[in-house]
Amino acid sequence: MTPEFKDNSGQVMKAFDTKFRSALILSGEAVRKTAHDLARKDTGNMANSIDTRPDNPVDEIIIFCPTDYAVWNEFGTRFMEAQPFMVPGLNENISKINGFFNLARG
Amino acid sequence: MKALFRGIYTAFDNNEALKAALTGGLHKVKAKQGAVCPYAVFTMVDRVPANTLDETYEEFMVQFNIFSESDTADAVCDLFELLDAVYENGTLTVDGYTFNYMRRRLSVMPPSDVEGVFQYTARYEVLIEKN
Repeated sequence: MTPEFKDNSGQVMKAFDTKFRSALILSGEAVRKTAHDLARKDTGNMANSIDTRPDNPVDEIIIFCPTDYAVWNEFGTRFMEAQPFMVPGLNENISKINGFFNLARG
Repeated sequence: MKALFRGIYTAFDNNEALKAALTGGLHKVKAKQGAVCPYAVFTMVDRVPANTLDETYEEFMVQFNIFSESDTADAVCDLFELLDAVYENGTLTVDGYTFNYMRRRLSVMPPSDVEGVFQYTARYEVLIEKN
């Protein structure tokens, strides 16, 4: 009798891929939300412009703030104290992000 | 965190090369009104999440901003090298605490908001343990 092998690796990879992408999305959203909370708010334009890309990530997710003065808020200037929001947004979520990926690994 | 700030300033004060180069001085949190370049400002920007259950440890993120007025970025880069030589893996004396380490976690040159003034930003993680 010849043993038959069925290759299920595609399904396994697909299942893992879906979980991994979910972990990326959840991580991005956690960082975005914390960064939003920490951001200096006047009109709220900068905080509200923090976003993630792409909507359906494959292997990375980018959290960004497109307003041109965001960098000055993050690092400060000669005339303005720094009020970091992006890097602390990531730092404060490290354990949460680890949790998302541990769950994805199963 | 007065003791940490004092330790950071003392390290600057004890380094002749850095002190001589930063003619405008090192300022805590805010530069004095009318401070003349080159100068630097340091402040605590973040309390890093602790990776230990031991509550006697305290982790901080300290940011330095160096400002230099020049035609090129060379001068501010030289100043950063001097500053980094003092603080990267440097040793601080923090009253009431045992100093563990100080490590650079980030350094960037953000675009300046003033023409002709270059800025160099560096962040260092500091871990200290309460005695």
